[in-house]
Amino acid sequence: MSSLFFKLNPLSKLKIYTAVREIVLSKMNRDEMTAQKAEEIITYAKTNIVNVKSAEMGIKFCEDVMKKYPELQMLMQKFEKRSLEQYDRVITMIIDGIMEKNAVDEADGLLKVMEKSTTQTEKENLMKSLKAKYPQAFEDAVAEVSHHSQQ
Amino acid sequence: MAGENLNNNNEVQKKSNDQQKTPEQQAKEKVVRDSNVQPGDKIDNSPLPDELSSRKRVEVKLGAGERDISKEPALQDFNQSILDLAKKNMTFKPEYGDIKEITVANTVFVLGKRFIDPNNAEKGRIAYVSVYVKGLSSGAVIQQDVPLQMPKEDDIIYNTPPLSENDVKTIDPEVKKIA
Repeated sequence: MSSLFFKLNPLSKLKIYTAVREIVLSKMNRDEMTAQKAEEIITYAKTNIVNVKSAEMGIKFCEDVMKKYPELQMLMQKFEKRSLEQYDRVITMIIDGIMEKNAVDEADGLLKVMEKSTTQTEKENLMKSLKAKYPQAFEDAVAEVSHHSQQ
Repeated sequence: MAGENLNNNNEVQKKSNDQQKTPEQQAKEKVVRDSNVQPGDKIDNSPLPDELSSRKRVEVKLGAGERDISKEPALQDFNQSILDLAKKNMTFKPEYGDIKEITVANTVFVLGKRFIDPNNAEKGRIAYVSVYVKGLSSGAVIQQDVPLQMPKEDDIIYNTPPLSENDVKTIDPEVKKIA
């Protein structure tokens, strides 16, 4: 995960635990997981999440818990989906800035690229090129989106 | 008395409801109850610190426009500390990967001090390694090791003059010994 990912998606122990809990309870309620298994995973998550001290450790925790319990394979997708939304917000803000300068064609072109970029990698590549081309607008947009994410 | 009867009735009703539930249903409900976060669980919502962004990146570039950042005022105070730490650690193995992957030109820079392994220096390519130093931005004394961060794809600078023969040397002989 990049530093930008963490900036746009501040992780907390509660966010990670809640994500695990949601998946487990959802599967249990759909009878895709027994109550015993659900209890085991919840207990594991609750016990071990307290040792997470940094965002990087949070990601490592997610990876470990997914390895230990394949039932949680969608855990990272939850965060990645959120990051895609955040990337789109940043890109849209930059496009808005371009529009305000009446560079309609340029903005339109970027909008099309944004719509075509659907995967994490594609979005991150677009973010990289925007950062290189519009450094100030990029920083401003990231700061604003990051600020809202923390609220 | 009436209130007591009502309470008793509720108890009876609850027991009756529980008896109607299968053990599996009861087990599920217990899981849901136990999964709630309690104040003593120490699972809070404060943002976890991001180690990468909490470090100030110091860029050292090769080739045209190379600058000796060890002379920059903001870094002067820390230069010696970093070198001391580096000497103490006797290794520049990074936290985030293998050093072979980091050193595009087999070249490592630490705050203006150049480390080149002449046997491995790949001429014609340039690269720089970003050095992340905890506490540098706040002016705090560096307390931990000096990890080398994997350069990101867009961190690597191309199209600058290739290394010359003169580049393949160490600025500080003491440092070469460490590298």
